Amino acid sequence: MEKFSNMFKKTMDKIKLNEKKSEEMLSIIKKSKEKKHNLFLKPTFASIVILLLCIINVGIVFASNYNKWLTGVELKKDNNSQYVCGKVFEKLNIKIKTDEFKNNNTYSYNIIEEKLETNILKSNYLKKDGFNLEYNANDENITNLLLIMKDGINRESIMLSLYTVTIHTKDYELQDKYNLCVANDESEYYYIKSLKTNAVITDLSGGDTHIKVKYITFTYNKMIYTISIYIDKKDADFIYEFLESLKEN
Amino acid sequence: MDQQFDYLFNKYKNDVYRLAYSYMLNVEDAEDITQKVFIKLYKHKVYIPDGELKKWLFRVTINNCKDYFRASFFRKRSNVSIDDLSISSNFTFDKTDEDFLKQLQKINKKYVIVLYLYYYLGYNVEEIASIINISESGVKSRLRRGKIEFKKEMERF
Repeated sequence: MEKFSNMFKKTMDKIKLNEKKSEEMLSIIKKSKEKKHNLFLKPTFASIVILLLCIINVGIVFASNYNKWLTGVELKKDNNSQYVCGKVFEKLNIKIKTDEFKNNNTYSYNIIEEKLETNILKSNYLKKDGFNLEYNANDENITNLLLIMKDGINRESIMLSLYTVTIHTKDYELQDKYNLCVANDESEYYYIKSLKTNAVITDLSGGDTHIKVKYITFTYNKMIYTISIYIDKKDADFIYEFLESLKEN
Repeated sequence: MDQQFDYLFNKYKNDVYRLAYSYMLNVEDAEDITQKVFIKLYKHKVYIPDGELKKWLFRVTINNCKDYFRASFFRKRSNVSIDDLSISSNFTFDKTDEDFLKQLQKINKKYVIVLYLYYYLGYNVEEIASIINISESGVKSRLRRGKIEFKKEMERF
């Protein structure tokens, strides 16, 4: 085996990197470190950046159109908030069990938030403070509401009666409730038309400056619901007269 | 830093090159691998003690050779006979050297590395085991089988 070892050495000793190649190699090796890689030109990094930009871009576009996409209407902070809310329900076809929100005025808000798992409605449109009760609860709107309710009562087809409607007058302290207010468009129709009821005016009660008009109790899916309106005492006469006429009808 | 690297490059370049050449049996491939190994050393930020450096270089060289061998472009070319490759163009090989390299080409690469480390560089079994990351008995086995294979090829030749 010594022969093998000698042969190995003899041959291998002849294998050498020639000087020219060696210098060339050394030069390349040193340049390899000088070459500064631009982070932005690295394919992986560039791909990630481009991908992130795309995601952000899509996010911006989506967010800017989300309200419209979700509700079918441009969401604006105005007295049509409940219309938007109604549209959301309609669009998403949320099934609501009536027994879930018995005596629960906050149900409509909570269910939307829960179902959508988004803050979009919470942020601007159905927030307690953003719900402009003061603006909505004027005489004209109350009148409209009552007219529409009357209209709804007379209708056969009923689909929604899921809200306890509470209307505050402008100086009434907001309660811890989420209210469905009236507006001057079809929104209230959307909600109120669905009231199928054997409406009975049950009570008129109130405080010093306000009157709680507990004026309709109705049955829906074997459950009893109440619609309440708080008004100034000065409005009470008007309401009372109207309710009386309703009762007569 | 550069001076130290120059010193190390000049000290170990031929050992690395020979190891690469004995594995690849091709001048260009051996040069490429040598360059890659030293680029890796040049960029290596962790200090390697001088005693360990040679082993580190051989380990990297062997890994690079294996990668090269596995590469598709090399496999396509691997059917080419050693006679067609430039085994002697850069070196002053005589007939016995060329014969020796041809035998070397025919035996398993894993034996070639062990034979090179043991017979040429003079590493003992324990050191070889640490370089190629196998057990000492594995090294002994490869040495024995390598010699047997080489002997067979010599007799056949």
